[in-house]
Amino acid sequence: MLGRIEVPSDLRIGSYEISVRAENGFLTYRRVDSSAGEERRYVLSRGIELRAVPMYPIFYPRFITQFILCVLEHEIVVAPGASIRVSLEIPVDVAIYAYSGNSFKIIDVLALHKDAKYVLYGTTYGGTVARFCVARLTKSVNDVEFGYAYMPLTIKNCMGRVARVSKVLLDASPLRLYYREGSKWYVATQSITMNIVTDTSAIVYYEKPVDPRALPIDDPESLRPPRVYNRTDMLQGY
Amino acid sequence: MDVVLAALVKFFETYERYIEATIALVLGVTLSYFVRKLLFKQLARGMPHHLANIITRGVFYTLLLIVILIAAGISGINLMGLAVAGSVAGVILGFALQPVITNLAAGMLIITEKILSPGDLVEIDGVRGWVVDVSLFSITLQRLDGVYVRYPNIKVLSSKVLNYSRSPVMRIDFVVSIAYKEDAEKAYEIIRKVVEAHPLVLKDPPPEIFVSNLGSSGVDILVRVWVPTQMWYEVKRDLLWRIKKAISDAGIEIPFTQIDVWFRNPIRVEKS
Repeated sequence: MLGRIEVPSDLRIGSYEISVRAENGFLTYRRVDSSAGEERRYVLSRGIELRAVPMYPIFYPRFITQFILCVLEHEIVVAPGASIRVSLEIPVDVAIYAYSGNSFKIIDVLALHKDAKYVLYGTTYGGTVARFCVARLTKSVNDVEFGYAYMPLTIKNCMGRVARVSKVLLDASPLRLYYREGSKWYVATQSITMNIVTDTSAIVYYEKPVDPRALPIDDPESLRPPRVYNRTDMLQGY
Repeated sequence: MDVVLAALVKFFETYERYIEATIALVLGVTLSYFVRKLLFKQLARGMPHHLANIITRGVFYTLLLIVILIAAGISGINLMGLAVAGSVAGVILGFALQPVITNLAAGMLIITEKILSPGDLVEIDGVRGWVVDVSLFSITLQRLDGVYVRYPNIKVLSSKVLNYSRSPVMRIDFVVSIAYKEDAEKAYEIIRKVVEAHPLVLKDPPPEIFVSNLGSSGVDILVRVWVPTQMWYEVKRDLLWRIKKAISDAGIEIPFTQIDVWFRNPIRVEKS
């Protein structure tokens, strides 16, 4: 399901039916969303390769922010100086990429979670808008459900007091999604470490991928600013 | 051969100063160009592009002026005379260009204080629009109907300026009236469901829905929602329609203005 889309092929991803055909010297891409009755068609020249890859849940209904606020299904309490590692699953969508060599364009985003909502992280004068999602606990990468990505999160309490964590702010720019070519559904992020620094601030670090054999997705253009710091500062609560 | 060489030597001896001045001018302009490029690259890393552009332009023109003066000095032009003429001209120009200089100072204040930036949604003197350009002399605004408006910086500085883009979110208020005979709680539930289902209405800060007024014609329900600032128009256009449709579909009457008139004495109506 994930990876290269053969020609001709008929796929089903969630509520979407995709058919790719070769016709009179060009390719046709047709996608029907059975839940909404929407249809999208593309005509592609020869030499274009289509790939279905996981995508950050920030492009549906439209791209407003690159931040994702993951509210933990169960709050986590960490003892002073201690650390805890939990396995979470966060919602992701699927994007259809059109490749020609190293160059690519995203031609379609298949929203797997249509109940998208946004939240304000922080105050109305200094905060940021983020895509809201609920991060659920899971056991391992193999237990992750369709439409979700596995995210191992290590929380380190660097304070001398007990800390209570209810949310993690992720930035889709340093965050990376990895998938296994040809797998039915294998999607994971890097290992994420959250250092709790004070009562109101924490730093989120994006570390190594969970599975070094998995392929990273090519980030969309809007998420490719210079990555000076591979971290996200949560200055307005966690 | 010797004749040509002698002619060349003579030419260089005669025009030595001018050749040196030309070389100094070319080198100076080239150097100023590269300084401008390099400075912009460095400044753009730490400040908005339009501000970096203004600073580098200023540095570039100052360097050009210095290069021109150096070249003029090398070529033998009397700079003392230029200085005297320049100071007289400066006084005259100072009076003549007073409005321009005032705008320039206002522009520098607007840029350094970051009152406005390109892309901001603002309201200046009751005119709402997107800031297209912030320059040293004026600000260009594109009104929501697409028309471009240019404001001199001094006007912006002395006007009331509302900058909606300063906050990442914006609150939109609607008033929905229902007839007195209708079930307000049912209406509340319908409105709540519509608001919560809208993807661009923020989950947090949470929407507020409450009876704000018992009006002369109906019960006024105030709906307050927060939306991403860049989406305010879309939500405003879409949400009230969705609420109206949901309320009408539920059979709840939206009242129009009504006045009950009571007569002190009974009125006799005669049929002719």
